Order: sequence, then structure tokens, then C-alpha cells
Amino acid sequence: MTSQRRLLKELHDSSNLPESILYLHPIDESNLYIWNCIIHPENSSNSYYKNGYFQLKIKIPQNYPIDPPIISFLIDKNKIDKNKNFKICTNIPHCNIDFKTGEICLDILKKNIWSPAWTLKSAIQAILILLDNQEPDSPLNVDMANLFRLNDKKAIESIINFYINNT
Amino acid sequence: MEIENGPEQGTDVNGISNPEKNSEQAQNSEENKPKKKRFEIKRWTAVAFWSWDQTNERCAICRNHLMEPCIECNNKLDNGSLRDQPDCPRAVGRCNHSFHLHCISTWIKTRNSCPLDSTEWALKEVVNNK
Repeated sequence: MTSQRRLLKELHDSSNLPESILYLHPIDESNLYIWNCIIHPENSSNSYYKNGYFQLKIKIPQNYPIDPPIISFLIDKNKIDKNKNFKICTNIPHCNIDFKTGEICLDILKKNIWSPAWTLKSAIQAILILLDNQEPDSPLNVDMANLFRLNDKKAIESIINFYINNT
Repeated sequence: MEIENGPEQGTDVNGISNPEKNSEQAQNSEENKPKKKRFEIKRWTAVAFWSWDQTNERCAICRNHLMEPCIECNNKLDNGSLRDQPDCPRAVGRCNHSFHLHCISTWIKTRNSCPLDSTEWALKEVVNNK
């Protein structure tokens, strides 16, 4: 399988991660099509999300990298990684992330924009960039989009902090 | 740079020990004889690197090096359905990005754009690595 070999290459390369990606690995090494990822945007200093830990689930289609991976935030409390010694936030208030499903609205993950030159690592990096660059004009979370349109920084900050500190 | 050594050490420029010679004599004899070089290159080895005149060395689609066959051909070599060096040429686009011909052919069925710069893909040349 082409996709399997390419994923194996990415697995070998995943020892070399940027600081804000704490973990990027298949859930089970015998199945390279489901990966688990934990991000912590601490190093992007003026991020609203810098204190949070988030878990992403990555499903990879059989004809990857022709088709994009399906990446979403894990919001099911029962499924999060409890072995890690930090608290993973399962409520993500963000204009482009569905609060109830964890779905991410990001153009490069859509079939008509995705390019096979992207890797899992670079796609996760794009999600980290999305966290700090909200796009209120194509929202999945209308309430957050409204706050961003009003540019109510105080409200935005306190809502995000509330959820990061209370999950 | 001090070439002559002091009398205590008693060695001349060529490194031969000569305890009686003082530094002044050393200077006189230097003027008579043609000056010997302190360093002499006896042997040198030239090292050169080469690479294709192209913007990328790796195929961005399968991540194999462009000098090696694509992942699909590697698979065939491994499972024995191909025995010899596979015919896996390199395709260069008008944007000067290169991919394996096999890889880019699969991709452009999905969208006719260069995976690296999203411009419309147009084939400039096909180069055989064999």
C-alpha cells in the first residue's frame, strides 16, 4: 500500500516535532490509519489558548496522501488520554471549531484545497496557526464569531480561560 | 610570524635540530639559501557534490528521493512483481517542481495543480533516471 509506506515514513519523522506538538503517534502501531495527537500552544506567546492541552484524533483515508486526513478535536471526555500527566481540555471555544463535535473548519483539510505535499505534522501545525487566527466569517461556532466581530477581547479571553481551566 | 626559534630550542626552520646555531647566523644563512617554505602541500583531494538542477530533491507526494523509484515501484520491487530497476521517471512541471511521473499522474486525476505551489500543472519534461 502506498499510503502505508508513506505513513511509515511520517512515523519515522515524527521524532522531530516542534515544541507545541507534544505527541503524534498511531494509537496502535499495527494500524497506521488512526493517529493520536496532543498539542499545547504554549510557545505562541500571545495565544488565548496557551495554557491548554488539546487532543486531536486523526483518521487517515486509504488513498492518503491523495485525500486529506480527517482531523478533529477530541471532545469526548471518556476517550481522552488519561495516562498523561496534564489535563486535556475537551471544550474548545473557537470560531472555526464546532463546540459539540470538535470538527475543524480549515481549508487545507478540505478535498478541494488539500495537497499531497502536506504531511500530518504540517497539517497539525496549520491547526495550531488556526487557533490564533480565528476566521469569524466562516464560523462553526456562531457565538464565538459574534464576540470576534464585536472584538470584545475581555469576553473572548474570559470564556476561553473558563473552559481551559475548568475541564 | 616568528619563523626562527630561540637559541634554547635550537631548531631551524626546517625542524632539524642544530643547537650551536644562534638566531643571527640563522638569519644570514636564510639570506644565502633560497627560502624554504614552512608548509608544503604534498597531496590534496578534491571533493565535489552534485545535485539535479531543480527546486526540490524529494518527491512531495511519496516523500521518496527523486533519484530513487516512487513508493509504488518500491513496493513492487519488494513483493517481487518487479525484478529489475523499475522504469520510474521524473516529471518536471512548468513551475520547475519535480515529482515521480507515477505520483503526479495519480494526483492530477484529483486536481490538475502542482502540489507545491497550487498553480495549474503543466508538464515541461520527463527525465529518465536510468
